[in-house]
Amino acid sequence: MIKTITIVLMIAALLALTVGCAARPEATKGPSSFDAALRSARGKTVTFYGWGGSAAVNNWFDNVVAPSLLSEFGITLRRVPMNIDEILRKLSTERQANQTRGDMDVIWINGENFYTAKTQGLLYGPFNTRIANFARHIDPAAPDTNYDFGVAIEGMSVPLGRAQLIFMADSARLDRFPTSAEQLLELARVNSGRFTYPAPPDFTGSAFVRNIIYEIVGFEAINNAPVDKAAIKTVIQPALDFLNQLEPYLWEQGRTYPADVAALDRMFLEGQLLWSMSYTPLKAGQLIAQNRAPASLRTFVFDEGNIGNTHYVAIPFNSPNKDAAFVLIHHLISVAMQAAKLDVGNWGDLPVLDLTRLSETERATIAGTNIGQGVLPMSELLTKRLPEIHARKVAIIEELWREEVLQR
Amino acid sequence: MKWGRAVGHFVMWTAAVACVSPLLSLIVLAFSAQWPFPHLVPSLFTADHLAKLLLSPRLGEAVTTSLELALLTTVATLLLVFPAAKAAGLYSFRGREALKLLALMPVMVPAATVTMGLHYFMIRVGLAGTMLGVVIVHTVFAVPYAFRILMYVFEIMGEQHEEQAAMLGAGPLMVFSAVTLPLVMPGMVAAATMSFVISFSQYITTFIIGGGRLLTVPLLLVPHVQGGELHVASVYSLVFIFTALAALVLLRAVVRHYYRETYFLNP
Amino acid sequence: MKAASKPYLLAAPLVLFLTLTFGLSFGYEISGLTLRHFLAVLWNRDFVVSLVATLSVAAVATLVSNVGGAALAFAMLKARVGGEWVRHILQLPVIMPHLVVTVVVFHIFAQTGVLARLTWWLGFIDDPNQFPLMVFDHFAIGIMLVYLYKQIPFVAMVCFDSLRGISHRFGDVGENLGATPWQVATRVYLPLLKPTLMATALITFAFAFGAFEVPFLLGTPLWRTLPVEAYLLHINIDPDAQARSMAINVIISAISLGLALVYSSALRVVSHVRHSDGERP
Repeated sequence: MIKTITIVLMIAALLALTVGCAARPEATKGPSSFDAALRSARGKTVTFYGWGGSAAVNNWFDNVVAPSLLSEFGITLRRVPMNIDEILRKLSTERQANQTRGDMDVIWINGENFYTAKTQGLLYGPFNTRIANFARHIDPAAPDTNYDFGVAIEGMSVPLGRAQLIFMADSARLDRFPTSAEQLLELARVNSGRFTYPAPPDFTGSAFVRNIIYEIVGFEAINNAPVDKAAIKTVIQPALDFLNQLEPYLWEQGRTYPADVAALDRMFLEGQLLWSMSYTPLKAGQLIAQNRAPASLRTFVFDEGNIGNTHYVAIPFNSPNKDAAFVLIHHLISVAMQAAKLDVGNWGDLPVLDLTRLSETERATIAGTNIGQGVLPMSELLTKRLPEIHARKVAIIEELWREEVLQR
Repeated sequence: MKWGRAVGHFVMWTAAVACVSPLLSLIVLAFSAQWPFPHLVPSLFTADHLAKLLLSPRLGEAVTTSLELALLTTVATLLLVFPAAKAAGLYSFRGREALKLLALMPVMVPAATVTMGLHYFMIRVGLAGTMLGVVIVHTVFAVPYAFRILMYVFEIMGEQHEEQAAMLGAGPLMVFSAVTLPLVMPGMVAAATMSFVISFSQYITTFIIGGGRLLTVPLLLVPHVQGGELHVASVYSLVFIFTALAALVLLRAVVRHYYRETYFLNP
Repeated sequence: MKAASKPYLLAAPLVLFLTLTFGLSFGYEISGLTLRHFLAVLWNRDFVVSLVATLSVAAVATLVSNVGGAALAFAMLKARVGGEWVRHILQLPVIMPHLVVTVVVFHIFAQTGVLARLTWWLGFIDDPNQFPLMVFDHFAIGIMLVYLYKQIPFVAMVCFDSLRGISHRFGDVGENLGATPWQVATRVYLPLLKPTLMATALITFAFAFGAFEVPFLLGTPLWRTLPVEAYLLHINIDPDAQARSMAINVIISAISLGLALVYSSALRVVSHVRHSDGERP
């Protein structure tokens, strides 16, 4: 019996090897110009693949972007909720299998996933300067136009929105908000068991740990450190010491941590914790607008600033409708869509537009958008915005946190 | 005797209550906006999201696709498994143990592993993103359950009924429809139920092989669980559960209609 | 009277289907792995912790759900009236996706969950932090609760179906001859149920051993189960991590398969004994 199974597996492996060794695919051609794309894309269906875990984000795509894309450009939008690691897994399999016509036209991506996609050749491009609204609205010199988590973009993606780590607390339950690492330690000491953060590699928890590192050793120190575990450990040791100092005052004395930010939110909203955090800067406005939190909810950041990052859209190498992808991306970074995206009733995500390039009325549109209650104004968020470090260092820091903080 | 029955009732109904109570949880969660500790009922209810979610054409599409996939998977699984389970249940032959083991393999290997490899081959033969491709992968994961259930039914049934019928002069078709099928019908219903349920709750496989072209209820539901939007997730969960239950009740009703007298295994 | 090839012909479609889909893809997945990847996985100090944790969680879940499931099936049989109703109700947990059960377990057993609130109203605690930790805890209680909710009804359903088939042939005879219900249960039903239980135990074990979502969402970050470890490696950007993730998946499969082999030989012994007892037709 074992013999039969072994033989079957061996045959399977052999077959797999023979089909696996085929030539690399040629990417399907993109449109010759943006105007040509506008013409040929009419009547087509364009697919957008991205994380679908937020009703607000989904609502913006389904009820704001999709109808206007259809009426203005004659293109039907099909949004598919899919996590970025599944998207990349799927794309890299398609790459191996030489599938030149895939399913996805536009994907939502940033950070280490962008790094993976770019280095594995899963993306189409460079294309960003060929999008009309990119040339018109986006600052070509802005850091986030050129680097995504320290990875050179080189025309392979277009910014869609700006996220930033923020903290939230209920002013009815906490009269003073911690706006530095020291104050957090002090408050946690007084309110023992009422603070914690999601365990990295949760995206938000990982950002919080980096925020503490920035605060304690400085952005430059970690940014200049080489991509090497021992070197990074030396640089961030004071920050790890701080987190260990904080640990006994955290929820469950830091013996365990919530698995993800969704759990942290739940513990906060049900009254067990005194704070929560989010990568959606206007999250408090959303929660209040949806009646899921009281109106006394407030947003705050550290005085030294909080990590912010930009999220992007890109076109997979095997997108079947690159012309329609061009038009969709063009539409996503129009003033109307960016303003609607900022609206807390839709999504509450910061725009990527260069305000100096906009007309008076366009600026007024953005300024007049309802960003909701309990949030920080856009100007304050942008002045207290810290850049991201290279994607590969993020994974090393997560490993160090596990070894030096969690397992101690 | 009396005592045994009383204890039986107690255990059974306690279990039944425990099985049903999560439904209550989901119903309350679907409507609760704010529910701080230690309130026993939510302090603020909401129904704002309900109409939007339930009337969305995406939900209709997802329910239809889920049902189609589950039905096709059930049929495909039963067709493949019935003869093999009969072989394993009734006859002894070299390789019988290997067959049993092979049929169990899909539960042994983490689903994501198989699916990724399968995706590669599906792309090469043009099945990725098609309903057939997804039905195939769902069937792979439904086989172990359906196989086990049917195999035992055949083992219990034994060979003698078919043989007696054949000796009395019944043709193969007659034996199948008049003897075999009625005898294994309860097992078939159980196997069909499992296959249906397995297909209906597939997430990662539908995701990877379907490539997003096929939208099912779990595809709508799971992102909201991960994103912590429990009022949305609960609504989708309830839609999921009641659709599945309704489909299964219907299946049973149809079977009962045709096979009123499954007297032997179900006295 | 029948050709020796008959069982082979009957089994052929399924065998062909499974080798073409499952065998081929599994072969493809492992074709790129080298010994180096396995060594890298095995050499890691977290690996042993993960392995032991995963095995223990799966073993406890299997034991409890099979004992519980069999007991429930007996109870349903004993109760006579209502058994069929409960049989229908048992489908609910079987239908419910694991992720949804995860949400419910959090809702009931978290420190701000329904149980904690009841405890507060009864005056036993005055703060959620005093309620015993049952999610994100080191003992995997939350994970186990999800498995038990899903698996006890599954085992009970399968056992009940096979008991129903045999009960009135053997059980009644035993009772008529004056055996106590306990004797009937342990001497008559349990031996007959053994093959069924061995199959369900294998299925429940393999599932708990290979499941990723539940421990990912409810587990402690301090130790991680092998499937979670494999997932985290899979999404890691280190190019070598993909292969190591696959190596872990192969190890998971190998352990499950090894267990199945031990099991199936054990099963053969059991059925052999039954044959010689002349219990089976």
